[in-house]
Amino acid sequence: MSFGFFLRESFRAMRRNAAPSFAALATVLVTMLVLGVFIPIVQATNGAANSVRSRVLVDVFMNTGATPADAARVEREVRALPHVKSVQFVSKAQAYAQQSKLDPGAFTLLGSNPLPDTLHVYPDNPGNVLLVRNELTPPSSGGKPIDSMIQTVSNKKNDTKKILEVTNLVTITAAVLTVLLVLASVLLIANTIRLSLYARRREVEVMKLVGATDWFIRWPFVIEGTVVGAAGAVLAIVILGITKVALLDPLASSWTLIAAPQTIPFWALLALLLGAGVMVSAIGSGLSLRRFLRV
Amino acid sequence: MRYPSGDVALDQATFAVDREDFVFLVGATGSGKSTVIRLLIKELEPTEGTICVAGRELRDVERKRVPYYRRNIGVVFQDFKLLPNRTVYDNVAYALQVTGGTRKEIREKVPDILRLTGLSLKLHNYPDQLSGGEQQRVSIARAFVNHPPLLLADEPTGNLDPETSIDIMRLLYRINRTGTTVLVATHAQAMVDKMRRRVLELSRGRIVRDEATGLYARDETTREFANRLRAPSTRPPGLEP
Repeated sequence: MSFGFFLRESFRAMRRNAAPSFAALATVLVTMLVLGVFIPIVQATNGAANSVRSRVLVDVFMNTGATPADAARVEREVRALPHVKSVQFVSKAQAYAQQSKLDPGAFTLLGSNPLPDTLHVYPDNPGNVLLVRNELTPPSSGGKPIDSMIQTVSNKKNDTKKILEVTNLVTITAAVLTVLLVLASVLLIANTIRLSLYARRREVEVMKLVGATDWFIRWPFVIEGTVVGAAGAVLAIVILGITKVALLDPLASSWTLIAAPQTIPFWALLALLLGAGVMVSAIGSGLSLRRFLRV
Repeated sequence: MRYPSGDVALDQATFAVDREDFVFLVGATGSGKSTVIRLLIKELEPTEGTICVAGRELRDVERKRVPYYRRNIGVVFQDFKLLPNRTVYDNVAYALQVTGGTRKEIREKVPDILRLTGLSLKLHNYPDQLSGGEQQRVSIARAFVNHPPLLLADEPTGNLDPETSIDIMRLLYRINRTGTTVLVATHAQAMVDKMRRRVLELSRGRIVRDEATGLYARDETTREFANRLRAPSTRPPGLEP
């Protein structure tokens, strides 16, 4: 009496309880489908939000008369400030080269280079961008820059704030939705399993009275859960795969969200779904049985 | 024995049963017969007092060991408690599979016990295709297939007509004659009186009668035994209700 016996027992149970088994399978299928669609969407949204946030920075414009020594000093000072991740120095000449590439005509008209040396200051965390700005122009000194060679510090306070708020909201919403959806999936599957076990509680009671050990009763149920969960997940994966190949891939070039590089690789998503489907229903079967085993 | 609801099911119900005995446990419903059975298979724990089976105190049997303890006891219920989605054969075989019986063992023992209980022609029927008497015989076959030293029966004839009840009692008697201790809880007073076995009577959780009748006839054949059961009710002397 070994694995073969348990396997036969679980298939007998599935055959004889076709309707509850099918209900469990359908539940797994639907939840896995929803998760399979939802996970990439959440990731793409988060990725989009993050890429917007990573562009948040503070520009420090030097006086036009600043010498390279001045620029180097200011760069050191800025680097020493808290919450500064990196500083990128763009010299007058570099800025001129960049800008004249964009609009060669306008800059040849000007003749000389009107652009200042610039420091792009990146905060360690997009949320700290306003702190960095405050460090550069302390409110205590009336908003004057920390170094006399600094002409201005870019002031796009409102834009920055809006970007941060919106992206924060998007990320938090996505996270909450994910948690809720995963929770709902687990509960839904667990409940379906529970119902099908409840219908068979008398059977479990009889088994206990004949002298079956808990695990002797439990193994067929766990195997049954594994098979049902795997079948549901595989069906969901097939449907997702067909959808991806037939619908999403042709669209990917024209819709950047789908092609977003931050999303989970498709094979990893499928593995995750299969694993989750099998685990939840197998463990769910084993655990739900506990209360019926107390005879 | 007191239930969590506060009802006292058994109180000062002390008795002992010898090995290979055939004992009736009688009493009105609610007198505690089923509680005795449930205590003996450790489905319930006594709130006070001790229960010893085969010299072993039940309190000392760990929860984990309960299944192994139960394999030494065959139990028959009024409602048969068969597994509805298994055939007669598989129901009986399950009791052997539980104990780790090999396939060879099952192929040998199950037909044997089904022949003994007269079910050889119903092997592949499902329980809902059988009459009450047949279902009860399946349940007895399942209880006895391991040849346990103790067989408990809780109202085994409660759902059956008199003629079928005699068959069931005869089967239990035959099992008793193979050396198995049998304890039968029942309220079929007439049957008990005719059987002339030891009788324990419970009333409101107390033992009010414990009587090994003077006509204790151990060497009776099962046929004589059954004939006596079918005979018109003549109350044996010395048996007062």
